[in-house]
Amino acid sequence: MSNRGINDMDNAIFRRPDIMPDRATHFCPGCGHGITQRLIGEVLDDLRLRDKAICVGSIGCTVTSYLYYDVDGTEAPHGRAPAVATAIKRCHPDLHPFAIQGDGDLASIGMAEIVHAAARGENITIIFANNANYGMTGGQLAPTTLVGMYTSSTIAGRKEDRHGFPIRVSEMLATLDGPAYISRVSLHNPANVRKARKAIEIAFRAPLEGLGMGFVEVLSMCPINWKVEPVNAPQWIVDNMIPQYPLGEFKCKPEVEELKKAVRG
Amino acid sequence: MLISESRKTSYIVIDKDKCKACYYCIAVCSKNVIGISKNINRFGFNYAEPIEEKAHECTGCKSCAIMCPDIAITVYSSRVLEGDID
Repeated sequence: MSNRGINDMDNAIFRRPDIMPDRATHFCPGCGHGITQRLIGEVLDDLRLRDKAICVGSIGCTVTSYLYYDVDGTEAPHGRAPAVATAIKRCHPDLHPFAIQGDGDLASIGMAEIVHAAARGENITIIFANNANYGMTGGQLAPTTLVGMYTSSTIAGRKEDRHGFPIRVSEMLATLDGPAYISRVSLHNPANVRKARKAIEIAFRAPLEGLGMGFVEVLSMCPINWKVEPVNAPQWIVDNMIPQYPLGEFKCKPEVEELKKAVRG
Repeated sequence: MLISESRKTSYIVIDKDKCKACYYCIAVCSKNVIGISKNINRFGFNYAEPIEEKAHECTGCKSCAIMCPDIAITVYSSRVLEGDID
């Protein structure tokens, strides 16, 4: 049955989102960024944002995210994607800028931008892919690296006394009044990927309604820099990352609770 | 034509030139429909492919496609008519 021709009558129940051009990604095998980008593509399709969305490329493994969507895009300096997205939203209130940022980009050099954009309550969507290291440059220590974790710049493991403790960005931003929706999700199994899709959809709907920033932290696999087999990477998230970064919603304005009823899944 | 039974079947198609051999799809498939090919694709990976003998067991749960980081998997559902013709 597998080698038969695809019948025109057959119904594709899962296929590539229309908004994503048919091209191979540049990510390493098993990288969670591919899943994250596909989920955003599905949400852009469902909300019909092809003419409204502006993709703000950040620095890191997400740098070429404008290649993977059929929407207008721009590139931001390292860490400044929330600032660029703010400018786009304020100059063109009818457009909807979104950015995918890695943890080296958002939690390290761009920490000031994300905190102030969240405090101002900008109506933008930020997807934060947290894989506990600087992926693109070769797996160095990031602010989100776990205690004891080996990276290429902490070859004896991260030590509390020398390198400090990892930052929980979602909890930190949830203390602010600006953001409408803050949630942390994981990609380690299909059920959690479905939850991630729902969270990303809410993070797009809330700013579109003018309620404030939508922010989703995605715990993402990075098997190459974690030095594990790709097939063991989801279990690595369960064993190591989720105890440090618990999943769940950290901020949800009462108006967003109403929006959630409209989200399928 | 008398149609005695009509049932729904599902099958998957894997774009071998997008597969990067992470094998998440094999790990999540509850029916073990997917296996590793002996051939390599243009990246040099032993890509994942549906196993010929087990393909009919696919239930169309989409778990493999949901976990695929490279959007290499498309899931189809078709209505197959099994009937006696008299």
